[in-house]
Amino acid sequence: MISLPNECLFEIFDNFKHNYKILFSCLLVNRQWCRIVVQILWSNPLSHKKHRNLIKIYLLLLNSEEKAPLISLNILPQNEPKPLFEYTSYTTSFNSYNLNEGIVNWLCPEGDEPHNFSEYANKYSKYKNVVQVTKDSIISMLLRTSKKIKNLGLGEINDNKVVKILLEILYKNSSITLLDIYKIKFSFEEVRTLGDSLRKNTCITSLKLCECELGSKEAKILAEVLHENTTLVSLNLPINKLGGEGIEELSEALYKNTTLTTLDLSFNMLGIKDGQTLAKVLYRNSSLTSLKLYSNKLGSEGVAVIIESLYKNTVLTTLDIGNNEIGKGVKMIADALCKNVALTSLNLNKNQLGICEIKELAKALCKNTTLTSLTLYGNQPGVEGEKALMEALCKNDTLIYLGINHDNTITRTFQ
Amino acid sequence: MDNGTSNSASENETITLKSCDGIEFHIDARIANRYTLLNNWNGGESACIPNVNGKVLEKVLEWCEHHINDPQLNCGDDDSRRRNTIIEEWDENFLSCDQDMLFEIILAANYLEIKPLLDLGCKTVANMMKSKSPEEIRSAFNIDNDYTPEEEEQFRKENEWAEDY
Repeated sequence: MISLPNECLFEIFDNFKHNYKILFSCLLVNRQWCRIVVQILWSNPLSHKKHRNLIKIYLLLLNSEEKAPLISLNILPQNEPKPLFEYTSYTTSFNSYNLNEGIVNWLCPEGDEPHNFSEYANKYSKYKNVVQVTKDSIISMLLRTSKKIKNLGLGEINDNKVVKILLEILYKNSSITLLDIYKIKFSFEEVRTLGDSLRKNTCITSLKLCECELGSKEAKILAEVLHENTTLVSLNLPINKLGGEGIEELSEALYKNTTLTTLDLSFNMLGIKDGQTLAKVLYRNSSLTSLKLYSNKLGSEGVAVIIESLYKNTVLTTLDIGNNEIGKGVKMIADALCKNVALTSLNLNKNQLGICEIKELAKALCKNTTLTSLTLYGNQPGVEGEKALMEALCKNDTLIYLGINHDNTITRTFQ
Repeated sequence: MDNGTSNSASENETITLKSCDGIEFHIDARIANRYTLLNNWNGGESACIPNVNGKVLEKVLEWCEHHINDPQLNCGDDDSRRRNTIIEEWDENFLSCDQDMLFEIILAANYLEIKPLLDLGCKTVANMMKSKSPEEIRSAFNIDNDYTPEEEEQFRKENEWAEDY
């Protein structure tokens, strides 16, 4: 046959990105095809497959240092040759969350792998400690060998050696553009190293540090990052302890930062004072388009000052103030909606809104021409409130999505 | 709406392209305007296309002519380009030529940077591989197996997780 160049073969095989069975057949055709297929097959296998033999290959790729903690556990594959490729060097997307299930499958005797979630949960609790050690080793290996990784999600790591490797990689400004870290207890020293890397980093556009016990000291470091970094567009810090001094630290940096468009501070125990601090940010900042403050304690006062700032701010379009004990404070929001602030998407879930409050919002919807999405789940609109909302929709032709409760969600399409 | 045809070329304007074996084609200048590489060559009124012979260039230009009014694709959006796995009937008939010609078209589309035709050709070849074993693929495309038996066996073992559904 006429031989096609590798770039054309890559285009052909890329049609099978999610069809591993065909990729597997193509891989076995000849050496040229194999070299191209492995790049696609191994770019993000864990998100599709939790097969025990995939874990086996990962274990075979461990170096002696990574193997060391596993030797006494007797779980390493025996009498197997070294893999023909360093397959993990082709990884482009990896989330450690996907590892557990595969490792459990590997630890179970062949044929005895769990078939459903409850069986898996059983086996997982049985092997929990071994899973953790194995996971730490595999992640170390992945961080060492993967040179093309773009999306990295890491969480629940026990071994601080792994954290050290991660920090070293970030310092070298690798290929990672999306970094999602959850449930890692960094020491202050580690956060400082992370900050040093991020200040200079020009690859990462989205950073998430979820449930990492970040407080005011750590916020100060992140503020320094925001002062210097001009690549980061999305910063997500849910489930931390940033209320009070933490927000103060960040706000200074947010006055000046012009690249960040998304900020998530959900579940951070933010109170009235933090609402005031954030309002000051919104008066001055002109790049943030999305602010998520779900499940804090802003209360009607804290929310009121934020809403007031929106009369000046014309950039913020998405605001999540769900679960913030707003109650009667919704009047302020209704007034702002009447005056058509820039908001297009508003989340007011779980805010103790009763019939009166919902009616206020319904009235505002009759006048508002900017909002395209409004969610009100977990409130008490009652029959009357729902009716008022439905009537408002007759007079409003901008709202596309209205979530009233789980039995009543309206999605409209306009020509 | 911009349908991709350039304002700089009117409907009646033609240019001449010459294949590597000297065959001349008079084409609508709007075709050349659509594709950067063809455009680069028509600085004058005629241009020579090395590497593509007359028989293949004729097919490629036939495809371009049929698709002259297609909306221009956003090049950056790789995924949306590929997600569409449906091949239109005209294109399917167009590409149901012999395999050598199909491959020649892919090579030419790649060389001339005609992305939509390249995708179409690749998709057609991909469809020919579906539900075939490695041996069946080899014989369908007349490919030699250059693996040693041991090597093939090891690759099979190392990647068998992918086979299992």
